Amino acid sequence: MNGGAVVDLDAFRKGFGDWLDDETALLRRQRECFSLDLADIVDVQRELQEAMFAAGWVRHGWPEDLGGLGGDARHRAAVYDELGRRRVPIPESYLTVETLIPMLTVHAPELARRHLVDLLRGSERWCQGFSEPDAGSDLASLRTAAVRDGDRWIVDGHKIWTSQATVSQRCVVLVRTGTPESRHRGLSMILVDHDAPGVTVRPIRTMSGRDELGEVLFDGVRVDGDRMIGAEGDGWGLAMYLLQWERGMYPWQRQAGLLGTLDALLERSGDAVEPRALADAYLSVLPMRLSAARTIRRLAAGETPGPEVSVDKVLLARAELTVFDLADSVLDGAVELFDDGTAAEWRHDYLFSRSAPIYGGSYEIQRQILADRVLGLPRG
Amino acid sequence: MADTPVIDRDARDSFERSLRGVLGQPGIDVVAALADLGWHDFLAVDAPAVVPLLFGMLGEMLLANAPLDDVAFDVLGPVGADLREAGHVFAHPRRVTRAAAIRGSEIEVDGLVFGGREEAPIAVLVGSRVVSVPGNLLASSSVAGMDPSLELVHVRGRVAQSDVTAHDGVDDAAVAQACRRAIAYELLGATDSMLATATEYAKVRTQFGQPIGSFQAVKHRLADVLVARQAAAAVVDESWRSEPECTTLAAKALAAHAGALASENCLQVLGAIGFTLEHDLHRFVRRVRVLDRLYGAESEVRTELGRLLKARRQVPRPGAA
Repeated sequence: MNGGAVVDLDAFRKGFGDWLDDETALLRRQRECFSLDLADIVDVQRELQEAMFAAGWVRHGWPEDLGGLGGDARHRAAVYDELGRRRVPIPESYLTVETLIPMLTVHAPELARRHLVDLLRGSERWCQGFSEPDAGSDLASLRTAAVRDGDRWIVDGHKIWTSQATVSQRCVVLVRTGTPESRHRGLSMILVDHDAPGVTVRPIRTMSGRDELGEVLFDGVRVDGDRMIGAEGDGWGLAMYLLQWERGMYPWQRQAGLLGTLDALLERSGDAVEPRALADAYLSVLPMRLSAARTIRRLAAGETPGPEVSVDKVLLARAELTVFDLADSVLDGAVELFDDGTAAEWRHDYLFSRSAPIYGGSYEIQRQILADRVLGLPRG
Repeated sequence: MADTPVIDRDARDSFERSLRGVLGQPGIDVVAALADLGWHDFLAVDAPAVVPLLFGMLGEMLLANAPLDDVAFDVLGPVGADLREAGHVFAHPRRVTRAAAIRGSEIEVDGLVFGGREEAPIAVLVGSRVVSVPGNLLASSSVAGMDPSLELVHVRGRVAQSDVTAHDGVDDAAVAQACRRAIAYELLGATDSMLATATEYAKVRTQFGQPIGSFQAVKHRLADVLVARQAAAAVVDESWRSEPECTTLAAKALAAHAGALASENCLQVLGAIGFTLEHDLHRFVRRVRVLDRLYGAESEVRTELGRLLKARRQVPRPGAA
């Protein structure tokens, strides 16, 4: 199906599922791909992205005037769900696309028009430069600065623990454009090319063994004025807007993966799975699936879900830990003791799951947001 | 079915207002008040619109649980309506299995009925049959238990199949699913009350010169209750639409978990006052424990769900974005 018409959701989901089921060899290559180097992974995933783009599937859900085929976030969600159902890993770069690009389509449509197609087909990847060595949970204390220089900006500073930094061509950077004391009021968001003079990207190997993270250093980097997203000083508002998507769509993408993990455990070692432990793992994922689905429907309808989306992120943290604790127990030592390819992959996935309560706003911060802004408890 | 509401929003809102007004009166006879409000008609035409409202309020206000019988009778259709109009109470099981089983020429009953009406005829599911058992053929004993306000009666005994009236071909699984779902809404109502009480207290109770709700340890306990409550709510709402066998088990387990976590964390936030009979918290703690015991306690429900999941090639994926 290459048509430009937005088909109804159920037909779209079924059409995409049928298309996937005809691509056996492609899907097998995706499933079998494992490496501790992110660059190897994204290379293999690019084949799937190209194919899904060429057939039109991943262009659905994005505005037509930006290179998409119309429809909304529910079409994208259906794509991720169908991939998960077939235990095909969702291409890494779609994780950052879902975090960054909804914001871009609203607040910087020119940038979206220029880059969306390349992002969807996998010929380009972006990362999200938020955390700094001294600004993790206290994001508003960040110090990477952009100073105006005519119609350009000069960026200096240091981003760290940035996902996919080593395989990205550009970074959406949250920078300080106000005074050092301006906290969240003096922030802006700007798109910086990794190949611009003064940008250095260094890999950070994580506990999982893979270079999941990186640091991005900016030393007098000149950035064109049209790379500013929204207006100067809009950074915090944009970050909050973006976090709604991150906390809705990322858990949705992960539920697709985690339910696939449960299927894989049942297929591989069904007899060894204790019913009670299986139910506990399933019950850690199911509410996240349904809650994230609701968040996505609200976002697609143009609503602003607000601080309660932190529920999705808290559920995600528990679900990742619970599912991979089950895997560890069912695999009976393979995660700890064996070295064949499958064991190495389970070991990577198990160790990576441990980071879920940290990334994208820690477990502690999410619960504080819920307590302060949903329950209305007094600020400490 | 939940996607095409039969009752429009105005009618639903007006039913909610009347319900809240009537149920809020002290010492209210819930069964009579509901009959006056046309509850049975609402239930018959649009259960997804009114079950969450009523059972949420029963849990929030700690009211008697007799409407659970109506939910069971409603699922049984015209047969159920006849049984209800003939004055039957419904025997609810304690476990995930039914409240009665065939033993040779006899039926063995072991169930719980609401409302303390020991003399009433008892409707009970035996496989895909619903049978009417004269009340005097079973041993019945009032259960004070942990929550005497529920006025539960334990009915048990064996009756000859020839002594009962039976209707065949009823959807017995759907009855258990509907009752589990209703109980899940009730557990959520009780959870909401506990969370609201503890949250208000955390705003006004001062220690070390500041409200205790400003301490992160307290915030996290209450946020955890909110998350557990929202998780259960997402599943119970979906259970009207898809995979009801799995989703109603899931909903009951998650709602019981939310209720248990609320009991633990809200008691901790309230501290000593919450442990006394001067405070109402104990009523909710009791109610949650007893509701957990109907249609399978949380651990039994989880094991049953796990058994269903294992029998499948793929775990179910209800709902869509």
